[in-house]
Amino acid sequence: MTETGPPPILEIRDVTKAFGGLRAVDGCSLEVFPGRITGLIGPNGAGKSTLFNVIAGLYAPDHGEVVFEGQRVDGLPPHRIVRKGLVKTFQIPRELRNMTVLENLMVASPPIAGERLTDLIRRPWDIPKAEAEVIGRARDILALVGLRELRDEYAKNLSGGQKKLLEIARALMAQPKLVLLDEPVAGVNPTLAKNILDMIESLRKQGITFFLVEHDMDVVMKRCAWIIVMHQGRRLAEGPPDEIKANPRVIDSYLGG
Amino acid sequence: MAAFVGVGAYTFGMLSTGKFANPSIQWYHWGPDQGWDLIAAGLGAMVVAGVLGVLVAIPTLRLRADYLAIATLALAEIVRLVLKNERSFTGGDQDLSFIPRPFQSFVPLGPYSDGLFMAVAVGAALLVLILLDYLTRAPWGRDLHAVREDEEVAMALGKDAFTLKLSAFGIGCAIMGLAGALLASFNQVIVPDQFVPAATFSAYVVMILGGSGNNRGVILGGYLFYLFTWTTQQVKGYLPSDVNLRLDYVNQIIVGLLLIVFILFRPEGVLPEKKYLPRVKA
Repeated sequence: MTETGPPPILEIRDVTKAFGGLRAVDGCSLEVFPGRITGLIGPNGAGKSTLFNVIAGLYAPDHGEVVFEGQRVDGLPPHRIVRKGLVKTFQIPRELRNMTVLENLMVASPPIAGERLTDLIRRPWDIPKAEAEVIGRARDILALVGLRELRDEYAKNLSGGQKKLLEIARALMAQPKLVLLDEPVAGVNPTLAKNILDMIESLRKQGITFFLVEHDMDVVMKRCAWIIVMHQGRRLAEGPPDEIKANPRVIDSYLGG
Repeated sequence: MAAFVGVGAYTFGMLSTGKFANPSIQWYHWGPDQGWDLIAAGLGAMVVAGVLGVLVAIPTLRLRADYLAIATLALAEIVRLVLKNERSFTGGDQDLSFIPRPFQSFVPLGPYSDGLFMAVAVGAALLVLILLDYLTRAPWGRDLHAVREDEEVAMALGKDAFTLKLSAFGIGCAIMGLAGALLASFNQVIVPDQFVPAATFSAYVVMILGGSGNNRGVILGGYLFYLFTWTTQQVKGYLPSDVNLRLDYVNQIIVGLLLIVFILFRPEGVLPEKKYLPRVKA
């Protein structure tokens, strides 16, 4: 388990998050290493989505630490965490419905001139330039994910699969170092799922780290270099796919006989 | 809403008239020794309403939209009662009168003065419209738009939703303060009971009718609403007196119905929000 190589990009240290009496995440510790796709699996209710929300800052942990690139980020508001390069996509796509696809991407850009009211007075001349630059980046990402034609369509009019793509495109727009993908291919047709997964793999090669929750075991075993199994709010096991497949405790609690 | 218009009106009234404007009555309201220049008093009204808005928003913006609406209605009542009871400060139930109009020393009261005032009011409205259009189209406006669509997503995309809402609320309140200043100046007299919470309701009707999310829609809504009340007032004179008396109530019923119909069938209003299409070729 101890790695020689780069330090972890993300460390979860003894994190607990309870809702009422239910400890959704219960003393969970794990590490995610840079440059690879790490899968997080576990039965329903194991605490995977809750853990993701804690990492992204949407929930503050009751106990424990979240460390991203050596800095504690637990307790920071979500918008500050995003700016450090840790971006999360939603399990069910949450497009900004009455905004165009392009606007959905533009919003996700790291801070640009004109987002603060003081910019509008102090340096209004920088705004058109910044906008053009953001539109350019958005255009490239839309071309990459294949939503180019739909640029000026309202996001609410996209199909389910297209919304998944938009979700990923938006995450990329934020120039992330680590992307948390909550079920990136759930409910997507096999062809599109393959496209999405190929895209993730090529982005990984460009240096983005992925940490994903997925229920489709074929996908997880084939695409992830490292798998972490969660059970009842904590880490049950971790290892490369082959090891996980053979681990009796994992088979017992999740994969089935 | 009534709260901020009221605060704007009173700030403007107190600053522009000064302390001793009305020698005919025993008590007087607070004010500077000399009445301020009208532009300065108008800016003062905007600042006070805006600052009050931000102060009120800090605790209440965390509430959900419907509770926020209740909180602002309650605030309107508080403001009205404070204006009414703090006699030595606002003049209380006694009218705050002798509020000047712009260019009053050159143009005596009458149709010309009314016309001139209209020009000033239209000018102010245009300036506000230009400012708001600029803000909406700027990246700041886009972020705010995202917060409206889905606050949690906006935060997950790196937007400081609370600060965005706070500043938008403050700007809105400053503009309402300006509206109050114009109202005070035009009527030259204000009383606390003008600013009842029901006044807020008319503003909502105007906004929903014309199109929330579209600045031009709100202007159109204002005209439609006014046209409707004006027409019914005109019709009134031709009706027998027993019908005549009931017309005001029928009027309110129709406005209420119209509001429900719009919310159900055309929530975007007469002029819906415009789609953003960049001019930059992509």
